Amino acid sequence: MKFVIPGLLLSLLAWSIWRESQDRAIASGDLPELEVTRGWALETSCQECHSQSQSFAETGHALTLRPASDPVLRQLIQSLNTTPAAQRDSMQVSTEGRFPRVQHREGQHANDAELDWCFGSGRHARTWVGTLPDSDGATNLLEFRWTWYRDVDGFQVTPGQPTELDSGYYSHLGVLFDQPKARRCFGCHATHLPVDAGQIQVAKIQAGVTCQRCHGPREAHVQTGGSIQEHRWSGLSRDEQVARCAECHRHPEEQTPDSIHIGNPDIVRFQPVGLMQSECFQRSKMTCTSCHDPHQTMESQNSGGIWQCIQCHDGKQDDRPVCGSGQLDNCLSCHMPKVSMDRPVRFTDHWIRIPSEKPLP
Amino acid sequence: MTHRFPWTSFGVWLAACLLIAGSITAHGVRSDGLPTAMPSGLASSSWSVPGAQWVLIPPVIRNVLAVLGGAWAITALCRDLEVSRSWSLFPLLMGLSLLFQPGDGVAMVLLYLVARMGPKTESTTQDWQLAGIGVTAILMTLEFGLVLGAVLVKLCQPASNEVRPGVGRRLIFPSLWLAGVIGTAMVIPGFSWAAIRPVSWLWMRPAASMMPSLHPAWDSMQFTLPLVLVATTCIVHFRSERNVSRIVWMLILVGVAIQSQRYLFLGLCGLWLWLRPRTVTGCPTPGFGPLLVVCLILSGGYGIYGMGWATLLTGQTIVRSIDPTLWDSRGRVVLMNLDHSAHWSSPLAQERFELLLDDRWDSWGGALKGGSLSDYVAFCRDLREVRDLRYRRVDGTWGGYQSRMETWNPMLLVVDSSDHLSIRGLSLSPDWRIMGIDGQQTIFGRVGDPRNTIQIRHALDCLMTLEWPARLDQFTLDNTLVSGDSHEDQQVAGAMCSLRFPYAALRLARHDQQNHALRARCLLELAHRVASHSSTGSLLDQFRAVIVVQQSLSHRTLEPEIRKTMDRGLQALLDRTTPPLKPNPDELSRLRMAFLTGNSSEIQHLLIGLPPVQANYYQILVRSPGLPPDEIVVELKNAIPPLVGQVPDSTLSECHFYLGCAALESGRIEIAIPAFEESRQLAPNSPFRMIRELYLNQLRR
Repeated sequence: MKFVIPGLLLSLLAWSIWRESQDRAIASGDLPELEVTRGWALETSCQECHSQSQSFAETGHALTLRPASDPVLRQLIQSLNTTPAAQRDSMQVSTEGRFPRVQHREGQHANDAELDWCFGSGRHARTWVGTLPDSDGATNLLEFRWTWYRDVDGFQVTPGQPTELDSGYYSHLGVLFDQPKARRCFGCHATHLPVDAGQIQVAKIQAGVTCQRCHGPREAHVQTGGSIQEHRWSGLSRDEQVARCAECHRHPEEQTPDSIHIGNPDIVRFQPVGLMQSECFQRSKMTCTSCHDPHQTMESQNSGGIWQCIQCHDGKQDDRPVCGSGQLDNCLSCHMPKVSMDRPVRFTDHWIRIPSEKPLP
Repeated sequence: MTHRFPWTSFGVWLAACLLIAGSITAHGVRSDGLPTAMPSGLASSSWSVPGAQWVLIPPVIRNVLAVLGGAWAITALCRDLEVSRSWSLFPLLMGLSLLFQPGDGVAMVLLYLVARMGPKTESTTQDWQLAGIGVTAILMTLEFGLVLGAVLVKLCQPASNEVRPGVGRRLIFPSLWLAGVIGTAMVIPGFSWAAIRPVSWLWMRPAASMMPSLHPAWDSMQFTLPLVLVATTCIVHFRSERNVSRIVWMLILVGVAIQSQRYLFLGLCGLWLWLRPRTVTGCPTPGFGPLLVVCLILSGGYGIYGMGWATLLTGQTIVRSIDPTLWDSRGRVVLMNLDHSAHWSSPLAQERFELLLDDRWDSWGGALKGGSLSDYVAFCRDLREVRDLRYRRVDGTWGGYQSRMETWNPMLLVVDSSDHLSIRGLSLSPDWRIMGIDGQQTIFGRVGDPRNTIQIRHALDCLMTLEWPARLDQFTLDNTLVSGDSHEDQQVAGAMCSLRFPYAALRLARHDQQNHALRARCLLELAHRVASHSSTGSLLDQFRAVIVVQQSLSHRTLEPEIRKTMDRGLQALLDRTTPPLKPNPDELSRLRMAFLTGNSSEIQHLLIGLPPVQANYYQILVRSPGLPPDEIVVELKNAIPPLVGQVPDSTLSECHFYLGCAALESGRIEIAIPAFEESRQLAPNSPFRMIRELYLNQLRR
């Protein structure tokens, strides 16, 4: 008996010391923090078994982040040199080095920056960025002033950037984002983004929104030949499914209440925001994947077709009427029109509604 | 029979008081003599020490009484050494005194009383005395679990051979006692968790960053020195121990005690109280009296150092910490380091503020209201990394602090002043602004709350004025930037550097070896600032940054986190400002590159070929890492006039720019402004034109 209490204490002590050593191996706090390679499978592993991953590689999600050293991107940004805007702005792009370098010349001096990444698949636009470490080595981001737009097949000012320039060093080159915003930008365009004390580990970025971004780390699944089937998308609740998409495409909770109204064009680019206000959404069980198969390109699945609508509006039930004006082959032009932003980019308005509805008070 | 005054015991007690007072004041009070009665916002059930509600004594007096009581108990423990008047009691005395905190006082006294009770007698008096001690512990200390355990052990101890207590005394009385305790635990929420505090921390303690007091601090003198002192005494007095069970108990007690700073004192006291060493030598140390006098002198000196009596004697009041109750702020407070709870335990602070979570890990036992400990830890981490929007963690849970901010509605956020990463991160947050910095806490206020607005503006005004000292006569640092000694100066300056106010930080930090790492960080920040606003690096700022940072990185004592960020920052600076030279560069280009890369030998080689007036100027830049800014200003002022006509206007403009920077750093605005203006006149399109305009605009605001 006299050794029971000492024995218990000793066991408790040993366990506590072991737990302390585990805590030290964890990045911070008590949260589980997976290291770069722990739990993540090679993306190419998916293609061995899942045919969807082959078509997925061509989607906008998969191509949404590329190194600026990509030959196609290098050629594209170099074409900026011949545009009137660049000449007017004394902007010059050089692709002699591994990454393109942009330079704004003012008299005898030049302000320049290297652009090492490109955001956007090109379906709408491509925006180049340059990573700039600060005094702590944390990663800041320079968003280049000029973006290539598919609709005009040319360069115009990047969305959100000012038309009138101030006098900062980077003003003609673009806008400088601090580390939290840089992380946010990369976070939505990458599957895995290791960050160490504010420094983005660019060499370890899993660029693009790929399989594991939605389906979670799949190392165990791959290693067991598919036996482990955790975190299946089909097992998620409807709200969770939409929330997963809304992580990047924005959730209504992240908008100020007074900004969510049909008179505000700025929310059009945030598809889940509008969708969740729609009566279609609120009175059905639809999710984002009801109309979009993320494994295929938008072109291949006829994203602008009506097959999505007539899944419900088939005329067989009174509470799901067909078009009152007799249109049978072009639902989106009235109920989900494309809206132009301040730049030559158009987004489909996902706030599905009858066009005659007046704006909410 | 004459009774001599126990001078030896009095001397030991006095030494203990002085050591404890100096230690507490120097390192800050981490616990209250009678702990706070207010539960935290998230705690569902929390045991409140009844005495804290009844005893209407100000916290300062409570702490003083706890210190006096603790000193008495330490003295009594030292006196009880079988070999008294021995040199070995001094390490024990000093070690225990340096570890003592007011919150340990009551528990220590009661444990001592239990441990020193004699063997059982026929009378039940001892049983009632033990019961009284147990009840007192429940009413007056949070560590009553230790005392109750000691009482139970004493109750169950076999009596002496002359006494054969009846069944009642052997079984019934301890059983009644145990039943009373268990019954109370079932009726009063939080009692049982509070009772097992002395062991529950082993499995409940969060990471060291969140609650350092529940972890060992091997790199802290405050932890290791007293431990070494006590260990020395332990080795001397337990070396002849042969009883296996006692050895096992000793190892376990020591093993448990050294796992946390908080229980190190009580654990070591338990070791000495319960395993009284059976030493063999019996000769008192000769010269014990003079040894005691020396100990008193040293203790008095330490007490003066810790309490700052020298400053007190001059009539100055030492203010060491910010008092948020003087602000308009109200509401919930988030502590990123839960050990700061003691700073928010005053009655006025409890009236105005509610800690979302405090250091009462016993209140985490039940489910926390509206969340869990993991939620709180996650919330703090998201705040630190400014991850406001929702994001999915790799474990499938949702992160992002916005939703929690709406649920928990915190108004103030408190970060440890040494947590540079968090301070830097929060400085970039759109939701928090700095409100005050002292040697221990850096306090951020929530943006948008009108009660925080005035102090946020004032804090920014203070920092901007320290950074760009244009209007020194129009501001006060009171209750915004507070430090009590040189160590706290360093902490406050470090926080200011993390907030990107390097000039302000350099003004506060002394130019000496103790602040080497801080100075390196500030110079690195300055060099980055110039590089970010120009197409080249500053020979003055960058050369100093490179040299000083490299020197700092060579120090073994540099903290790993600071080493990492400094190394990365230096590499980023060099990558940005030192592209490969073109083929066949001229001498000046090579000289420039040598300065920017900190290549002192190359600089000296290239200076040989320059005219003396130019070489003299560049030599000032070479010496600049070791010179205080005042001297740099004087030397540059003397070196620049001879350069007129000898160097191009662009170079002369650069010289004036460096003079302006040095003058700005030393606070000599009357020199800085004309220097920048002269620089502008000589070369309006200088590479430094943008940073120069920034400096001038700030100095003229």
